[in-house]
Amino acid sequence: MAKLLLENLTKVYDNKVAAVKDVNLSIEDKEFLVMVGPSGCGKSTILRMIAGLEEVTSGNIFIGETRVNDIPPKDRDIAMVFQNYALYPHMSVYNNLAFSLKMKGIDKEEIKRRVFDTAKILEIEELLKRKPKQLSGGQKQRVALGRAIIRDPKVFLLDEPLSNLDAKLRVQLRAEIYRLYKRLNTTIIYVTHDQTEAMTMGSKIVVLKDGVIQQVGTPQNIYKKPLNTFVAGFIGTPPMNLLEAEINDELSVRFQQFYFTLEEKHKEVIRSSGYAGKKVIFGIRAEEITTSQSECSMGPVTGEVEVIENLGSELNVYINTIDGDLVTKVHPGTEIRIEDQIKLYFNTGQIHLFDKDNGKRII
Amino acid sequence: MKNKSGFWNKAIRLLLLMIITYILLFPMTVALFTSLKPPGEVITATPSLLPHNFTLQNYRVLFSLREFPRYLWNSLLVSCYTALISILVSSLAAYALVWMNFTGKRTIVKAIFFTYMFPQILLVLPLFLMCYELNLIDTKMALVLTYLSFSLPFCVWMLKSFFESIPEELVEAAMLDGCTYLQCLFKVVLPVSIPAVTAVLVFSFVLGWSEYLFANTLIISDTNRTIAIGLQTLIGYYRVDYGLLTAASVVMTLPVLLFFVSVQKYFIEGLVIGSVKE
Amino acid sequence: MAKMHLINSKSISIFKIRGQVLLFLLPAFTAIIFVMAYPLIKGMDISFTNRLLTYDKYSYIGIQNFLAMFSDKFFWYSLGNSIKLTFLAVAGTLLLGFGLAVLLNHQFVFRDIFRGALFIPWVMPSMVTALMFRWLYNDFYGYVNYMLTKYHLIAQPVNLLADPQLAWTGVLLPIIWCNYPFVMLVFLAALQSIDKNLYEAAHIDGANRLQAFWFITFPGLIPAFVIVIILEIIWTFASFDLVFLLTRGGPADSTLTLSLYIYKQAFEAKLLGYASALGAALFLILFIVTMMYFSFVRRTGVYEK
Repeated sequence: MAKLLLENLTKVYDNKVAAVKDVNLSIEDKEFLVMVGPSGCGKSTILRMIAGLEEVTSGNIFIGETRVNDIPPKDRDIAMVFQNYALYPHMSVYNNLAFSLKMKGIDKEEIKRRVFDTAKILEIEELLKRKPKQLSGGQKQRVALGRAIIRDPKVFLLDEPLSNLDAKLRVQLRAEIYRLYKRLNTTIIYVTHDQTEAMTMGSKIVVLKDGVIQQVGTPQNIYKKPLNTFVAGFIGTPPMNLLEAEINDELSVRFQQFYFTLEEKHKEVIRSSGYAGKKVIFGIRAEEITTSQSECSMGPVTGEVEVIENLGSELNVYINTIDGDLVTKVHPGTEIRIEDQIKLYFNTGQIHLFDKDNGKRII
Repeated sequence: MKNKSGFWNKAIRLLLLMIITYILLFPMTVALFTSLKPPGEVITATPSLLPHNFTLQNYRVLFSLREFPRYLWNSLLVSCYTALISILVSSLAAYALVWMNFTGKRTIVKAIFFTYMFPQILLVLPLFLMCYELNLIDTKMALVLTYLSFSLPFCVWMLKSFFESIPEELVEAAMLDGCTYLQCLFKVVLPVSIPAVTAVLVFSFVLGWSEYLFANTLIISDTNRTIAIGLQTLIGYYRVDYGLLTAASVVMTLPVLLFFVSVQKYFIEGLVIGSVKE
Repeated sequence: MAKMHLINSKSISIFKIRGQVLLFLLPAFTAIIFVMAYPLIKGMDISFTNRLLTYDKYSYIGIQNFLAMFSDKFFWYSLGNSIKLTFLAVAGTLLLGFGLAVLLNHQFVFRDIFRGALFIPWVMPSMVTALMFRWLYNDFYGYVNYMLTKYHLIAQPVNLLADPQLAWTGVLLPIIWCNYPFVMLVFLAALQSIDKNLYEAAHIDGANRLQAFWFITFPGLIPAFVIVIILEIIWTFASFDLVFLLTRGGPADSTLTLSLYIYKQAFEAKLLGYASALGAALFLILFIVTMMYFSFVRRTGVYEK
């Protein structure tokens, strides 16, 4: 149980490709931090640098009060769960779990006790005699978790542990990992490319792209106030609608089909940041778009229905308008068909404006 | 695929294989049966494939020869030492080449492949002189060292290819679990590499057991002779006794064959991975 | 996450320490240097001397040995024989190995048994192989000759190794016999690593078996072929054991290869210096051939991995 600090962390590979660029991050003790981003964004690289499996090009990593850059992985008091489980195929589950303890020289009785305890937590007691190839994916992942837990480390590192499992198992194990987190009361750093996992599990999320941190915050924060268009589009299912709009001199947001006037507090921001008369990117979540008018809604925007996704509990409707493609959620019972002409209203309580060129959040 | 033509295809294939295998293994079957024939049947103008009277006479004579069991023992020692030291040395080297990073690694890898090209006949002359100067002539150790060096390029290459096919996470997990390099090699990497290890052991053993040129040159006295040369001397004394000679051949081949057949699966798997991954 | 090839980029930081690296590599390299590199250099050194096998005094004579070599008709003759042997043996080995690999490329019950049995010739000691074939060829008491004459396939018994014309066949057969298993295995591995889906897709696209072979099988075999051919050439060209044990270069020097000639010069004529020069020539030829081969391969991009 310890806190971590990443200071100006950079990783450059031999071919001059910078995988991680000047990352600064502090992770509190007992926090469940999720690093999320598309493939190649550097999240796994950061994790591996924390583990000591990758050399740090520049910057510092602190676990607790100690700078660990030059400390070999086995001495950093961390444990890692790999995407491919990395179970020792020639050893039984028991020996897989016991291995790190054997390396430490702990006596047999103690090892036995700890293995059984861990197996009990993960409900894999009946599997102890088996070899990895006799286990299912979910069982293997549990053993991998067990191997990490048994070492009682300061920090748990999980590298996309659920990516190799089918959807149902993923949901199941997600909950189990979270339960484990609560039970073990320890620091976890979790890497995934699945934003659903990030949103449901983390107490703090770090969104990464191309080796640079895009945003750090709680799931709610990131969802409600994404700091740039990338985060806005990455987090949330379905992704946030992003449209081109223009702010005129009267500080109204103009689309091709309608316009609405900003609230006073927003007007202040626009005036001072000099966006009057400029083109911007307007963002709005699918659930903030309705098919019927209400008090704080603006519109209408008309368009043609292109795709309807029936998820059972709701329908995702994709509409093509002159202002851009939109997606909205409607009740499953709604009468709606492809090629219908439909009117949409924007709920202007939760709007997002981003700079057109660099994608940064304006309000 | 229709079943009918599939069946005929399989039948023809099987038949073809059986015929070809019979032809290819024919020299061995002839030798085997010859060794079981009494001299009268060996030296005859009308030989038959199978013996009319099976006899182990040739084998009895063989083992009663003073030198023969000694030759066998020498060969066994040399081959075992070669095999064991080979696997040790080559696994260390292959491990370093795969998971350690250092300058000149690529050139070293190329150099290893390069040593394949050294013709034995070229090396035998200077090696003979070197052994003489170091007083190593006529010692089994000289042979072991020589065979070791001949088997190393192949063994390192094979192990390296196999190691590269092991998922890196396995080694990383071991390092995280607290292994030193050596522990990781012996507790995790090698147990997982049984096919390649087997290939290396068999290859080195066979090399040591059946090598001729250097055994001929570096060993002079009868006491240290290996069986490859021992066979040769039998030809000297017993000019035309093919019964005896084939018996000696069978004895010389048997350990290799048995070893090979028992680990065949692993050996071929190891070779295959090693060659395809090249 | 793309897994990067270990040799090229990723360095597991824990293995930074150079000392450990050396320790791991040291045994292997000491052995190789001691038994291969050093003798090679020493051999080159001796080739500039007039040293004899009887360890007497000797002196450096510059490139005299090499000059003598160029005008030595036996050198050129044995070189020609070596080339001829390599060419024929490698061709035969490749054909046989390939054919067997194709036959073995399907799953059936006894496949493993056949594969194992067919692999045996490779592990046979050279001494035994030579003996077995000598016995097979024997014209007085040999079974093969007996059967052939009995059924009037040949007029009278013939010992392949005793006749200068036929000795080549007599020598080629055991060599091919010894070498084909390795080739067979490499081709088999390559054949099995070709994605089966490709064949199915081709079948759907309407390709017949011949076309499937040409467009799918053949290209998939090229990497294996590339490796196998150079290894076989090197091994056969430099090979000594079998030819020596079968014919000693006879009859009448008809099967005298360069390796054998070197041996005779060293151990029979006792001309160590000259023999070393010949050996150096052998090495040089092999070296040049290999270098040319690899630059050819690299240039045509035939070999991709």
